[in-house]
Amino acid sequence: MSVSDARLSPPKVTVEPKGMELRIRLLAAAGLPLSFWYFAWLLQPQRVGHPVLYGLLVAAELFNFVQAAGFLWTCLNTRSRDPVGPPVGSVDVFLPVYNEPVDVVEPALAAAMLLRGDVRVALLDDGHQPSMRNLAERFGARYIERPTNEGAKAGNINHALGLTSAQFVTIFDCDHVPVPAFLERTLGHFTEDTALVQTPQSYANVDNPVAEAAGAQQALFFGPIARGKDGMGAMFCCGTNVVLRRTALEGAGGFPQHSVTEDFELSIGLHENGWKSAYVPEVLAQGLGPEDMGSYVSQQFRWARGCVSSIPRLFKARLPWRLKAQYLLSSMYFVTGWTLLIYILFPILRLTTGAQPLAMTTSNAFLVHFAPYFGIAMLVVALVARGEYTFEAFCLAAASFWIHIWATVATITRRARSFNVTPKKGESRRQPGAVWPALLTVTALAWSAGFGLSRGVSPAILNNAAFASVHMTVLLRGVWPALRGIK
Amino acid sequence: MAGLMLIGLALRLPTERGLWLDEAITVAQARLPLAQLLATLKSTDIHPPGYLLIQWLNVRILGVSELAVRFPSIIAGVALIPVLYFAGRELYGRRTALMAAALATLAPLAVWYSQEARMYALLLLPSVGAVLYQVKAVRYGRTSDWIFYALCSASMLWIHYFAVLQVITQQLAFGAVVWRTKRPSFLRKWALSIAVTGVALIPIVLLLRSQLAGSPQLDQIALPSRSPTMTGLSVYSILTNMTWALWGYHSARLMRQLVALWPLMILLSVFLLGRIRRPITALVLGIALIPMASLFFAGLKLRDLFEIRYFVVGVPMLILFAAYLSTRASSTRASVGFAGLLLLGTMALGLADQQLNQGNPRLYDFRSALIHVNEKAVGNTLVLYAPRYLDSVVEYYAPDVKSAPLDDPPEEMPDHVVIITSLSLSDRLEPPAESRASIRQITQSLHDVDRRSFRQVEVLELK
Repeated sequence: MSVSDARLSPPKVTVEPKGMELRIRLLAAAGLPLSFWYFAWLLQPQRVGHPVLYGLLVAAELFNFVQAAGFLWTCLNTRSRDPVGPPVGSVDVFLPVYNEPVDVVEPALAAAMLLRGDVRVALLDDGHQPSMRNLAERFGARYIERPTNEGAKAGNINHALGLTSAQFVTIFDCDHVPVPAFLERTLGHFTEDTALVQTPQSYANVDNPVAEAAGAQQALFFGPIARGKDGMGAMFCCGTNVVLRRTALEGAGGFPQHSVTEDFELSIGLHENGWKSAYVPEVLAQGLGPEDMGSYVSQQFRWARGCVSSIPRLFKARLPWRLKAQYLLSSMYFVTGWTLLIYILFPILRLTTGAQPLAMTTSNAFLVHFAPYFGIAMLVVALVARGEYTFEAFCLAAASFWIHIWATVATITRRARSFNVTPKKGESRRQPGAVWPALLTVTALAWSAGFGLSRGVSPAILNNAAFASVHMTVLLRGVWPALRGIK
Repeated sequence: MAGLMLIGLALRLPTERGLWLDEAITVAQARLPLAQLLATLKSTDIHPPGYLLIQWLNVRILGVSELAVRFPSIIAGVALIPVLYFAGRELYGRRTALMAAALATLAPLAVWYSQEARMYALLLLPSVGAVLYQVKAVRYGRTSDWIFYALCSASMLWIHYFAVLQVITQQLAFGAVVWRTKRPSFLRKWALSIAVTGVALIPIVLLLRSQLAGSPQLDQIALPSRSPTMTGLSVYSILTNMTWALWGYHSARLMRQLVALWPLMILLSVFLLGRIRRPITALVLGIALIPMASLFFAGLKLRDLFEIRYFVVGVPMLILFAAYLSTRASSTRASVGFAGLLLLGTMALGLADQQLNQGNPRLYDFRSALIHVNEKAVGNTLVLYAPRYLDSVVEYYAPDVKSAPLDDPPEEMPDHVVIITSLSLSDRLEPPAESRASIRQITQSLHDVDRRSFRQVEVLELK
């Protein structure tokens, strides 16, 4: 075990600045009329240019408005939570592994053995590796393996549930290193009807550009969004760094094995059964983010596929409207890639065919209505994220738009799902193949800009070429680690 | 730094531009005896005396040649380079400071106003100084920093009244610091700086009272030198002014093309995510944008107020911010180098076009026009000019000719009349239509002999 492992350093503590809620409320108060100002201008018959493109634009704008409004609504409901009782209870700590390297698993197992409390640690090895057995024996942890790998991680955990008996179950991904006080900081938040207490995922390997950008995305979710969901009792299990009540878990039939996002599906079931969830916004474990684009794409696709697949279930779920809306917001995030595709198409079509979504307008009129709306949206993200959501994180998310499309198509065509474990160690070589759809898009944008400019440099052409350049820059920055390799 | 200053001087010295309207007014005022200058300022002008007093001294030492009257601006423009370096070093560190100095060397607008006998180049020195000393005062708390800040603030207001917008922005910044830190010693020194500024501004306040008492209603004031490419206020006008601020003045066609690139600002705003965490940057952007925003809203009432010259104090801050972004674009040297070269390269291109493109709508060739007038004016020739503000220009370049405003000609017209007009200098008190009517009236008795066009100046010879 290397002493230089970043996961062993003390987790970063973030303090909520004073007056944040007031600032968010003020921005929301300003944002609402500005949104109406924009949409009142947009949704007029005389704005219709090409009808199909106009329809796509309106659909994309309304969808993103709902996402933005949902984001604000969530952030306005943050709560601070104090423990409701002493941190008591027996806990089974599960570390599911599947062919991860020993040096990735060892620090996590060692830290799990140091957890304070009535703790029994089990290494759940679906890889059937002697090295893992030896590791467990060395640290005095229980080694559990099963004859099949059915159900992937969910099946692995469910199998271990049947062999253990503590009141609570804690799950750590095998790369997540918890602090010794993890259970002391979480168990005290269980009330009689609390099924799960979730804590943040945080990546320690921020010297890696992919992990750093992915971590910044996580910071936005596990920061203001998770705190807001907790304020509405809508926080869901995220698969690691979580404590679950055994009776609740068993009552729900364990982790659903049909979904690649078994944690999300489980949470829906628990909430349907009347259980509550809690979120402790304190980084109590640090893990490893995806270190190359191939790993990131694999992770994102799994999350997108799982969440998009759950949308039909959510519409039928027996949940209070707030919880249902929160779940839908989270699931629908993985459809936003379609809106980006629409925005990317507009300059391409305008430059090559002349077709555009809007008519009877000038850039000035568009900007007068759009710029304040966009500006407020940027301010909200900047303020709420407290500078942690970066340009690089934005570009990585944007460059992954095609993953959402791929996941939606796979869901609609009912392609077989497979649980692919996110690799914990990255490839250093270039991986253009992992991001070829984004590169194809960049090529299309570049070609259309060049085609347009070859026909003239009128303000209209320059304007659309500028839009194309913006998209190209964002996409290229997002896939840059795949093109450059990881140094 | 010496190298950058030499380059800056080399860029600022040569110019083909003759004096234009505002500069000629400056020279006419500076030539007056001191008492008459001050009386003129009180009764017919709406500017503070700082720059004019410097010019008054300057013309008596160096004379009234084009180079002489522009000398204070040239020196101020070159001096901006090290001043911005020191400010950048204090605010962000040496790397950003060097980049800011390099940008200030090339910045087209800084070069333009270094070549103009007006107060704008000079204003930028105390403007940047005020930012530098404000930051020092907050960081180190030394009384000397507070006093220098106060003196810089006062100096700004001695040079241009609109500098009050920067002063207010900086006072708000002090207020924010007080609210956050609640240091009693800070409060005392802040009060001291306000007192020092106040004392230094007493003569200015008295002058302003006289000027406002003697001036017509504000909405009657026609500022002759309005931006030639602007009509109404709009987002386009905001984008245009911001383009001017960093890339200088260009032809109307090129400006439309540049402004069409506004989607790149979407990229900039996203790029800023996670990068503006420091209060220093909030101060820099505040000084860059608050005066502009204020004058935009004021311009809804009085159109002429929204003009880059009047919020020129924002330009060094925009340069500093651009320098900061380019040096923090990425952690890799290659990316930082690329960003810096891109910025310097586009500014250099902007400077070249601004200085060399004859389609620049801010170019008025009164010099050539009046040389031509001088050649034509013999004996009893009467030179009529429109708008009437051209009197200073005519006096500067053709002091020996008999002249009168076109809308108030003498009752007896001589046989030889030369009319010089610049009708693009729109004047609400003297609309172009009235000038054209006067010309038609005169041409009823005299015949059109020769018409010549110079850049935005027309000369019509009648006999």
